[in-house]
Amino acid sequence: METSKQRVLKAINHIQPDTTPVHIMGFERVGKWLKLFGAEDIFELREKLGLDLRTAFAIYAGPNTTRGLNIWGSDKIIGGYKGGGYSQEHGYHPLAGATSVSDIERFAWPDPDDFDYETAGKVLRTVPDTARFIGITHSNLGEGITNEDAARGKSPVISMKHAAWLALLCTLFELFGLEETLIMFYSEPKMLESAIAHVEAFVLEFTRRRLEATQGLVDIYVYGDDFATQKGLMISPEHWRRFLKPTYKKIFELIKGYGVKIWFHSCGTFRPVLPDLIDIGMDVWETVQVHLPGNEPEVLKREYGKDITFFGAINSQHTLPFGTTEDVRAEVRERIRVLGKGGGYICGPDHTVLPDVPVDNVLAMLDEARKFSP
Amino acid sequence: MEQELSYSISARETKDRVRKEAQTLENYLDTISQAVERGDDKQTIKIVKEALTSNIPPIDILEKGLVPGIQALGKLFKDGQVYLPEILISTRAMNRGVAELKPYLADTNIYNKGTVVLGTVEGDLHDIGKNLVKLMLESNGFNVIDLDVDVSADSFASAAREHSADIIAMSSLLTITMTYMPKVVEALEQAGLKHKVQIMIGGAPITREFADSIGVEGFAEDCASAVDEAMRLMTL
Repeated sequence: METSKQRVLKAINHIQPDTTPVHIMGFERVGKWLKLFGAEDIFELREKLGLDLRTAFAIYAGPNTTRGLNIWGSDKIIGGYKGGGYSQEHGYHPLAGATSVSDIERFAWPDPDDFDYETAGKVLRTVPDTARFIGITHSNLGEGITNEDAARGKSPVISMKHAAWLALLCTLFELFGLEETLIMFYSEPKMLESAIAHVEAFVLEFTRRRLEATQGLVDIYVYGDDFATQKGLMISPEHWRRFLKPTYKKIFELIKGYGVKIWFHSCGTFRPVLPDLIDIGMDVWETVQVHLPGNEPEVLKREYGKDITFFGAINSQHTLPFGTTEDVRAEVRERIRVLGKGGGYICGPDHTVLPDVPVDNVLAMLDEARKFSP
Repeated sequence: MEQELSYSISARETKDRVRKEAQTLENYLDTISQAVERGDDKQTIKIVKEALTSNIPPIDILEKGLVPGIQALGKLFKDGQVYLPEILISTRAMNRGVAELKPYLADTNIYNKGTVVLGTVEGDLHDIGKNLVKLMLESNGFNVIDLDVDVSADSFASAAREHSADIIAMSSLLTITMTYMPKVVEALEQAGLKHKVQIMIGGAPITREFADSIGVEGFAEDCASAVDEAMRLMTL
């Protein structure tokens, strides 16, 4: 039997693994799952579920958490329905009042010195047989939480509440507000470029330090953004290429320089720029919501299957919450048959597991992926 | 002879003038539509002002200038030729044009297409899609009462009664909150409002089948389709 690490690396290198690797990126109200599986933290939960990938977080220890803000100075909390999901607590966007480039320059951008990068390495050393990844999500310290707890995602209600992910467009939304950001593509491109340069500089340094601190330990770096809806891109391909792509490219180049694979999250459907992401080095695409126009599994595998690996593709809007365990198993088999042919597929939900998803459906998904070979 | 000549000259002049005025009217209205479609708010304001000075009726400026501009853009959006920034700058140009007209339209209800009570259902705090629907409905002449996010069934029902709503529009992004929608339908039924309003729904996990299954007539996939659907519901 292959180890988790072998299985994942084979899939990413487009070699048929013994079984399809499995992973789950996010659980909403993870407390229920921790309790159910007797796990102390998210790290241990993934072990108990037998997932093939493991991560540990960088830890923010700067001043913002105690002010009820995330590292961008926004009041976004992880946790959009009451008590969970993603939402602005009071709709506060720290750069909403900015009127000039110098307002952007003067902003208190996050400081890479405010993070502990080392503890993640220490945690990851304990699981040599799994595929290990780090990425752009961090956790926070809080009352009664040690650095090791935070790296492992213990007490997520505290350690993850004000966590941010270091996406580009989504960070601009947090800083300026969504509508304002989208209008700025036309009205204030200089301000937008200035903010992008600052976000980029921070993310590059954060990423460099994460990679330095975990050299030889990690196989994958998870980066991501959200620029698409269920119908298509939020912004035009031209805007995407001019404003976002250059930053993604620099981050990808940095990661490649460490010999680490690039795993990129983006929800929705965005076929016009998928080849751009492949050109700049994306190895794995996360979410793969195959019920959306342009994301048909046969088409994706045929057009892009030799270039990238697909992670996700099990429907978290219909099958997982509302289907039977047999519906879930049938969908897993169908995805493995198409997307997993010759490797190139990691099975999992195409988004966060929400509290309405029956535990049995998640277990059926994992079990079917492990035993089904096409 | 001389008189005849002078008559015919003046007749020609009048005809020319009328044709020119018609041309001017059409030009102004076209230019306004194009400025809105391009999202050029400065140009929109400038031409609206010029059109007003040229005595073009304000209601024509609105209905034959500004509105066709936003309608053309809505079509481009549905066809995937423009994106959210273009929708936002165009609705902003439209709103700035409408602001110039407002003093002249004080006695006219410009949001006369119908009243929509809009909100994201209880338990759900997502507002991006809902806000876009609001922008597009208002730009197309609907009176929108925005109840914001996390809206209870009772709040929908009482707002529907208070504002004599024609349409209730509900949004949800999550599978765990879409299940609240039938509760709103039930509350409207209990309040004796179900036959007085039309209901439309939208959001990531929402499909036409789901709308059918909870007895809701209206469904839209995006903010431009929501305008078409609201127009359709108003004819039922």
